[in-house]
Amino acid sequence: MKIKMILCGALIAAGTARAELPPGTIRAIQATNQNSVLMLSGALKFMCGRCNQVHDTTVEGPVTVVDTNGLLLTSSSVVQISLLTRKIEIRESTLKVKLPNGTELPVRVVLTDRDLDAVLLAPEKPSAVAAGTFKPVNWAATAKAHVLDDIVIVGRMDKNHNALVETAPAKINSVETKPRTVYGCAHLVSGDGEAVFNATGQLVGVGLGRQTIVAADELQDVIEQARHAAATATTTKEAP
Amino acid sequence: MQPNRRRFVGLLVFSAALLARLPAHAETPAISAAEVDRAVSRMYQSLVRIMVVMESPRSGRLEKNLGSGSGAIISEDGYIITNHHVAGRGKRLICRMYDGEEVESRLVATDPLTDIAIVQLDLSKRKNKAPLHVAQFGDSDQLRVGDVALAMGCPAGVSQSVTKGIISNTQLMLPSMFGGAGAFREEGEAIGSVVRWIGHDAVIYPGNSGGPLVNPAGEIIGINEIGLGSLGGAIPSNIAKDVAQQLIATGRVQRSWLGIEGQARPKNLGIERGVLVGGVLPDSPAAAAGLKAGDVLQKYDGVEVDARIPEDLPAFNRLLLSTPVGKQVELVTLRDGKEHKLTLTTRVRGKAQSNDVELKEWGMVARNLTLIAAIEWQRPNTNGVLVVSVGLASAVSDAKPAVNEGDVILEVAQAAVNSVADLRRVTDAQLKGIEGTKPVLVKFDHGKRQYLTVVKIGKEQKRPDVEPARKPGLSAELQALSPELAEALGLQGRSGALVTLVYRSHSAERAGFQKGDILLKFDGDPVKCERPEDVSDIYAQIRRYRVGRAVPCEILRGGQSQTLTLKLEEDLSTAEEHLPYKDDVFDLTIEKLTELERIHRDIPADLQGVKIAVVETGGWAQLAGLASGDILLAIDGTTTGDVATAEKRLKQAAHAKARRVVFFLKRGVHTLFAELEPDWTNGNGASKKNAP
Repeated sequence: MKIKMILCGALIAAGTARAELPPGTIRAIQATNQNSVLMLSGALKFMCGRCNQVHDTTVEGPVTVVDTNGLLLTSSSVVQISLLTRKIEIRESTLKVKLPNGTELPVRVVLTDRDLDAVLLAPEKPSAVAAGTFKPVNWAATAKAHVLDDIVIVGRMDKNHNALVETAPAKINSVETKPRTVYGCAHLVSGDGEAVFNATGQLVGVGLGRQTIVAADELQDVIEQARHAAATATTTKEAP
Repeated sequence: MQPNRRRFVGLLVFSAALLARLPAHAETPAISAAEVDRAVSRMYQSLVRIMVVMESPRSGRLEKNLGSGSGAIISEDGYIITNHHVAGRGKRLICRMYDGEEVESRLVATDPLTDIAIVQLDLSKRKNKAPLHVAQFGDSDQLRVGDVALAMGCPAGVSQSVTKGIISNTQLMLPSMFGGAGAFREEGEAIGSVVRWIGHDAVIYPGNSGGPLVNPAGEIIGINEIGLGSLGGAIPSNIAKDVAQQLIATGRVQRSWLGIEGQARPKNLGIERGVLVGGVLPDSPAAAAGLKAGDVLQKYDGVEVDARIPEDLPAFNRLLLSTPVGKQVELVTLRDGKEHKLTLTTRVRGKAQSNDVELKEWGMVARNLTLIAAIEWQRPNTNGVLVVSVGLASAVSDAKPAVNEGDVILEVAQAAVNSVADLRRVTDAQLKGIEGTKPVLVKFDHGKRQYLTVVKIGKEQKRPDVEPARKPGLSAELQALSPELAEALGLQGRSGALVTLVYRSHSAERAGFQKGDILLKFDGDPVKCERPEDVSDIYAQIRRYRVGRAVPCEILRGGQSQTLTLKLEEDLSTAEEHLPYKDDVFDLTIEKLTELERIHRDIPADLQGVKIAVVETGGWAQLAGLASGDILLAIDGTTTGDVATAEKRLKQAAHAKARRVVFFLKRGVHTLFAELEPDWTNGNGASKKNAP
C-alpha cells in the first residue's frame, strides 16, 4: 500500500505538469471535498468460506463518504478481500475511519462487490453517529466525462503522512460505456476509493481498481444495496 | 499423552500387519476337540462385545469417536472386566451379548496403571431374563510356557470369536526397540511398570482388547491387551482379578507413593542383589528420607528386593505400590559400599493425570494438575489448570498473547484458579446474564514465563455477514466451444459457448434456451469462449449488466441461428440467503436448501428439508453417520422444512435430553434414518439457553 501510494504520488506529481486546470480551481475542489474523503485503517480477522481458515489482514486507505449516515465506499484492495468470492464471516474487526476532527469511529464492512471491486462500510453503531459527522460528496450533481477531460482526484496519504488529503489533477484517458460506464485514467495507478471530480467540481466517479474510475451513476445500485444491508443486518451485541 | 497412545495403537496395527503375513500356526499342543468345546462352552456365553463412544482432546474440543473391544462377565450382577483403553474413557457403552442382544452399560471404575476397567450391564433393560453366565478366573501363576491358551473376544468388532495358541512367555516385557516398559501409557501411567504380560500366539487383533485369554478348563488366565509382532500379550489374571475386585468394591485401587524410580542393576555394579535407585522424585517420601540416585536398595519393609533384569521390576514396583498408605517403612540400601537404613512414610498415590474437561466458553480442553503431573511439569504445586488442547480461532487462541497447549492458567479476573472446578465457577460467574462474550484478565504460566492476557470468553455472537452485491446471472450454464469441438460439430472457425444446463423456471428457460444450444452473441457482441477459463469471463461480463435488462442473445440450434431475448435476473448464487444455524449440541450446521442446489442436485421443488452443511469431526452427528450434503427431512418424525423449524426442533430435542434423537435424511436417491445418542452430562445441551 505504501509503495503504491508513493508511486501514485510520483505519477500524480508528473501529471500536475501536464494539467491544464488552474491551481485555484484544484484548490477549491479540494477545499469543498476534503472532508468527504476520509482515511480508513485497522485490521480484519475473517473466516474464508467454510474451511475454518481464519485470515488476518491490515487495512489502510481512503474511503469516499457516500451519505450522512456514514456509508463509505472504497476499493476491495484497501480492505484486501478482493479475492473472496462468497459471503465472508468477519470474526473480528478493528476498522476505524478517521473523522475530520481527528477522532476515529469504528466501522464495519456491509457489502462487497467483486464485480466493481468495491467494498462498502458503515458505522458499527449508527446510533452513536452525531448529525453532521459525515459530509458526503454530492451525489446529486454527478457528471459524465469524456476522453481527455480534466479531472481532479481527491484521496488521502498514508498514516506515515498523517493521512493528509492529497489532490491531483489528471485526465480521462478512456471511456468504456458498454455495458456500463467506466473511465480509464493512466495517472490513477491504484484506484483505492478516491473521489474523482470534473473541472467544475461535479462528481465523476470513484477510483476502484488499477487506472479505473467507476462512473458515479453506475454505483447507485450497489450503494442502495449497501444501505439496505446496513439497515437490516443485526447489530453486533457486545457484552457490557 | 496422545503420542504414547498413538504409539500404542500403532503397535497394534503393526502387530496385525505381521500377523496377516504369518502362516497359520502349524503346531500346538495336543488338545482334543472335546476339550476345546468344553473351554469354549464355559466361557463363550460370558463374552461381550463392548461398543463405546470415547472422547479425546483435539482442536480445543473433546472429539468423540467410536470404538469396540471385548470383555467378560465376571459376576451375576453384570460386572464385566475389560481394558481401560477400551472403556475407561467411555461416554456411552453398549455391550452386545453372545445372543446378539445389546444392553446399555455404564463404566463403574477404571485403573489406567494396569489397563483394567469394570463395566456393568444395566440388567433392568436386558430382555433376556435368564441368569448371566459368569466367567471364572484361573490362576495365572500356574501357567507354563507351552500351555494351550484360547483367545476369546470380538476382533475388529466382529461377533464373539475364538482362536487357539500356546503360552509363549509368562513374563513378557516390551523390549527397548518398542520403547521399553514406559512405552505403553494410558492417562500418563506406564502400564509396563507394573505388568508383565502373558505372551501367547493365539491370533488376536485390535478389538480383542479386554477379552479373556482362557485355559482349557475354560477359566480366565489373562486379559488380552497388546500385540507385539505375532505375540499377543495378556494381563495376568491374578493381577486383573485383584484390581477388578478393588474397583468393584471401592471404585479405585488404593496405592502408595514413594517417589522411587527403580532400575535393574547395571552389570558392572559388582553387587549380587538389590534394585538400583535410578532416581528420586523431588518432594517425595523417598527424597524426604534421604534416598539418592545410585543407592542400591536391598530390603524394603523387611522384604529382600532384587532386579537383575528389567523383567524383575514390575514385581518390585507392585510391592512398593501395595504398601498401605501412611505406613512407616524401613529401607536398607547400599551407598558407597556401606549399608544404610532409612525410614520413610508412604503417601497416597493419586492418578498420574486427571480427566480432560472441555470448556466451550474458552475453546479449550483443560485438566487439573495431579501431584505426579505437577512433578512432571516441574510445577511448584498442583495449583492451576493445565491447558491440554486449544481450538483454532478460539477465545484462548485469539487472545494476545494467546494461551497455548501446555500453559497453566493461574488466575481469571484476578481470582485464583487452582482447579478446573475453580475455572468453571469463575467462568459461570463472569458470564452470568451475558449472552455474548466478555473480556477477562487471565494470568498464566508459559514454561517459566508468566503472562497476562485478555481472553474474550463466552459464546461469540455472530457478526452480521458481509453480503455480496446482487448481480445478474445467465440462469444457465455454459461450456467452452474449443476449436476442436467446433470442428467436430462442423462449426469450423465459429466461436461461442455450449449451453450445458438451463435452470428450470428461470429466465433463460423462459427466453427459450435449451440444453445443447450454442450461444454465439450476447448483446450483439460475439461470445469468445475457447478455453474452460473463458466461461467465467462470460459470467463476469453478464454481471456487469443490471438486473432486469432485456438482452438479445444469438444462438445456434440445429444449424440455424436465432435470437432469444433474455431478461436478466438475479444470479442464483447471490440471490438467496444461506441462513446457516450451527448447533453446538449435535455438532452440525444446517442451512437453507437453495434453489441453485435444488437445480444442481435435481431435488424436487416440493421436497421440504434443510441441508446439512457441516458435520463436525468427532461430534454426535458424525458418530451417527450424518454427512455434509445430507438433507434433513425430519427430526423425531416432525418435518424440518426450513432452517428456523429445524433449529427449533434441534433445541427442543436438546432441551428434552432424549436418549435417542432420530433424524430422517435424504442422501442422493436414498432416504435413511440416523439415531443420534448425545451424552447429556457435562452440560451438553443442558444449558437453559438451549431451551426452545
